Amino acid sequence: MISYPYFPGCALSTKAKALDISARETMKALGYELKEIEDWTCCGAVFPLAEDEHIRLVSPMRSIFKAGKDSDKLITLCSACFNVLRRTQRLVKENKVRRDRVFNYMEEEVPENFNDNVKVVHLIEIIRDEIGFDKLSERIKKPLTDLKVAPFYDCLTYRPPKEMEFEDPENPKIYTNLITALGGISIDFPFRSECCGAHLSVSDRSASLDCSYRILNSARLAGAEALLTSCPLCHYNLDARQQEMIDSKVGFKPIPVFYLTQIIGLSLGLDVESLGFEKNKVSPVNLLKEKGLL
Amino acid sequence: MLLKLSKDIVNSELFRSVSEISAQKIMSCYQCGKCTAGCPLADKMDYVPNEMMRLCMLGQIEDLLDSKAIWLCTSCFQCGTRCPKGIEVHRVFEALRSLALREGKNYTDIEELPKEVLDEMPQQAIIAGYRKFESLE
Ligand code: SF4
Ligand code: SF4
Repeated sequence: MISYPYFPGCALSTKAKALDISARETMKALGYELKEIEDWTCCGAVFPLAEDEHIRLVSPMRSIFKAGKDSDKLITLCSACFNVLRRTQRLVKENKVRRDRVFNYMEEEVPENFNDNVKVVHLIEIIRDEIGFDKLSERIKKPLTDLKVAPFYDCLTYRPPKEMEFEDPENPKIYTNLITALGGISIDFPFRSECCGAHLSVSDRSASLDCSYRILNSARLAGAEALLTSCPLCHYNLDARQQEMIDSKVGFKPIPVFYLTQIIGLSLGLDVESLGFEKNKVSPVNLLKEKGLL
Repeated sequence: MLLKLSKDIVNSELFRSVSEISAQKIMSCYQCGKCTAGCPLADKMDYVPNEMMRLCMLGQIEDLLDSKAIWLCTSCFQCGTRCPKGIEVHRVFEALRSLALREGKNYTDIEELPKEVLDEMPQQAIIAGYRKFESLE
């Protein structure tokens, strides 16, 4: 069993438990242990964009230091944590001025032999690059035959591309390849990389509802039966807020939104208890029964 | 809209603050409009991203600090990803928002959201809300 330091983040520890539990169980089935780092603190949720905001880099840096103690990788899968942690690691490594500022704040918290090369890795990168989608496909017990899933490529995993170095944000393929490897049908749709409205759901709820509605509608028109995401906030906007769409958008029909590891776990034949489908607001259970997957 | 222009207005202290906080070469924008074309919130903004850039170049920062647009930007990084001049437009929006917050302007009061909404919403949104929309003043 390979073990990597894991940063779950606030959402996965509470409101997005289904993503956390299904990720741990899926990785266990694939021979990996996600070892939660001790005493981690919130990453800050948004990467500090202002050039003079140094203190906001302290909290993510703390987790990177902790991971660096016994590994050169830090695994995470919430899109926001991934965005913040990966950009912080890169900035502190490459920008001496910013690095000195942050280290000055942190003083004795900076380890003596600080590992500058801790790579912040998204869980799907481990599956793609270490295991391989072809090998994953050999291990599936329940192929997602006939299930039409639209992969939703959130903002934060891909952009800004120079800092994230993940995939081309204009033409991402990673989840398309994943769904195909799991035996399902991946549905490409025009709004696959649009913003879901993100944190406008605290301030301009109808503006963010419009953004999410546009995405769901676009996926449905392209023929999708469900969507896929790995971002807890996209999931909230796209799944939990569908009741508001039913109430306010004429003709809107609900559509289930899976977390990434819910469908990987499902096709690996994991116990349904560990997939947390009961936590999805729009239940995927009927759809999965219809397809003979439950 | 009638704009008053002068050297002092264009090169005002506020303009310099926006340039410094965003760390972007605002003057290199050539108004192609690609930032606006990709912006998911442009249809709801009073000043769309390329207008915001143009008004910055003309030193109309006060006007932008009172706009709705700066609060509608979700920092999705689409504008900055597509700008052919390599301007991280999202950082210019952030600089304007930061200046407004530092002046004590408050956009929203998260605690006023209904409890059912707060209970369900992931922390990511709540913390982002505090960081982007609530002044520390
Ligand atoms: S995309 Fe860049 S150059 Fe074009 S209008 Fe926007 S900021 Fe200016
Ligand atoms: S970062 Fe803001 S301005 Fe830029 S495209 Fe996204 S919402 Fe629009």
